[in-house]
Amino acid sequence: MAKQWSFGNLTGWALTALSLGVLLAVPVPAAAQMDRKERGVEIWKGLRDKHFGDRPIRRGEDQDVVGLEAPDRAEDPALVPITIRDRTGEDRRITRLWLVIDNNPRPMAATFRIGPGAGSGTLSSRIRINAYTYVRAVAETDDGELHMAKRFVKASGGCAAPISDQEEDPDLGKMRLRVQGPESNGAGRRAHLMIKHPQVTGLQMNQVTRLYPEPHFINWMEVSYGGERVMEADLTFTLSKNPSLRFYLQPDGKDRSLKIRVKDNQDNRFSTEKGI
Amino acid sequence: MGLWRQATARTGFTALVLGLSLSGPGLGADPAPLEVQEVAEGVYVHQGAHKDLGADIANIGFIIGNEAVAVIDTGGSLGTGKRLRAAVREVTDRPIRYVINTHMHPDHVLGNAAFRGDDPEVIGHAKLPQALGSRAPTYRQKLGEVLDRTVPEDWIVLPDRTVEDSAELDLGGRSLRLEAHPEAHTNNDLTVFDEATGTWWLSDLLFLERVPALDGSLKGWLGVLDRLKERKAEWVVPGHGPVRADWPSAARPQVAYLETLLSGIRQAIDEGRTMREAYESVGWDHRQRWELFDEYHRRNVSAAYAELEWE
Repeated sequence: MAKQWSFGNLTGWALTALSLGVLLAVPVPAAAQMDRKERGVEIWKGLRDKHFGDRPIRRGEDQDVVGLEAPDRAEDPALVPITIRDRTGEDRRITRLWLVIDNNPRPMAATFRIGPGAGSGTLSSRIRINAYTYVRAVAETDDGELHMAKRFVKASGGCAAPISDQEEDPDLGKMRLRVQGPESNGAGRRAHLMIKHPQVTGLQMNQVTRLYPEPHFINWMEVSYGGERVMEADLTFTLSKNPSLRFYLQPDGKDRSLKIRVKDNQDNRFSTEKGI
Repeated sequence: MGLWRQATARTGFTALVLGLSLSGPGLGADPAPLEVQEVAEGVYVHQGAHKDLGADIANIGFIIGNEAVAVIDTGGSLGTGKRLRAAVREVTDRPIRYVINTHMHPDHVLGNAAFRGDDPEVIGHAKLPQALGSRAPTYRQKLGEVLDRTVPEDWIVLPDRTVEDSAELDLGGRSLRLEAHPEAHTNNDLTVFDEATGTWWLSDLLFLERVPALDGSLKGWLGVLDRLKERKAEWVVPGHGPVRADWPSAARPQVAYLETLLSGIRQAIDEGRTMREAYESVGWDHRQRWELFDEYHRRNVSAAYAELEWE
């Protein structure tokens, strides 16, 4: 037990006292939840000003363009399934999507530029959520309007969740791609892309070593279908380990090639191609 | 010892300054002993409650030899650890030479610090230090929310000695065989076999009544159980549920549940169902058989889905 006894030194106890003081300043859980909501809304206001200026954003009953599906309470905060649902009709299409998680360390979690190769703006993935928070999907349509859907999700610790102990995955960047037949509702073929990547947030301190691992996550991705862009995405560590992304390709009976290009924050580049 | 006294004195000081009532050793009344059952001669087990989270939810206990005592898991809080220690002292004065941790989960290890004064050798799986170290901040925070208090850093006591494969401990005329397993319930599961009575302490490799919690590998867990089922033991001690059970028959409900997850999730993945669709559809026919099913089942499916989708 000798190692742990070093807490007997003055510095250790001073630090313990300090952290006790800091933690005690945190309000009780019920109030804390309210505070998180409010703090999140403040963060959102800042992001809104920065990214959208004074452009109006339709929300709630005022918009029927974008939907957001997420569990009320996440089963695993490091694996929260979400779907951004494209609800546009024939008259317009989604051209950009922003995924915002108010109370995450990087609230602007992902941005997607949707191109003509996409069958719809609907996207599903799995994300990390670090604290009770609003999750927001903001969509821009080709008429220049902005629309937003949001959901409050109860989850905590997703960004600080432990990562696997293995240091190097020999399969880093390996991709799997599955494409289903065209859907009857005209949304096109559904594609499922899986990428082997640890998605290290860098926020998981090891209490014993006091070390934080080096962040390592996919930060850019481009998907094209028959030479046309399906999407280009700027991403963060918010996507869960071994990212999974489902999206739609434009309906088309002809043989076409689906190409994926991916880059991570350590400048590793991966790509794959599949004939459909 | 000297350092501990010093530390205790400062704890008292800190508590005074912050107006807290921390009950460290030497402060306040003696803790009430945990209720334990003697499941075999010299083998004592306390049954934890089937609650989601908390200080006293796991089966923990101790084994007494002619010369010394080995404590096996220490409970989910310093207070539970102290109550376990009081239970030991009700039965024997022999020194507590070993504290064995069967895996990193907080309900099994957060009472370790209660045994500091005994200066035992703390023993765990070779992968326990990294696994617990990286999870410790989260465990402390979550337990803090449940107990409505701050969980200090020094509740985390890591092993002095780790087991890569297997090890023998001598309690004086009584030998314990420790065995480290490949990734199953967690990546650091350790079992204890008491040769004197044929008692096999499986801890969380075996759940009874309470739904198994998957925090390692579904395929690995089934594989480990497959091998363990071939071995003989007079009886086993599960990590949750009744303190003693027959082997291997006690494993049946758990194996059935885990096999349902395996086949159901594989099918869901083949059919292109999402993780969410999988956890809403797979395995619900097992719901009536388990406590806390609603709290853990979806998470089990999520973890298994993430494991299986790369097959």
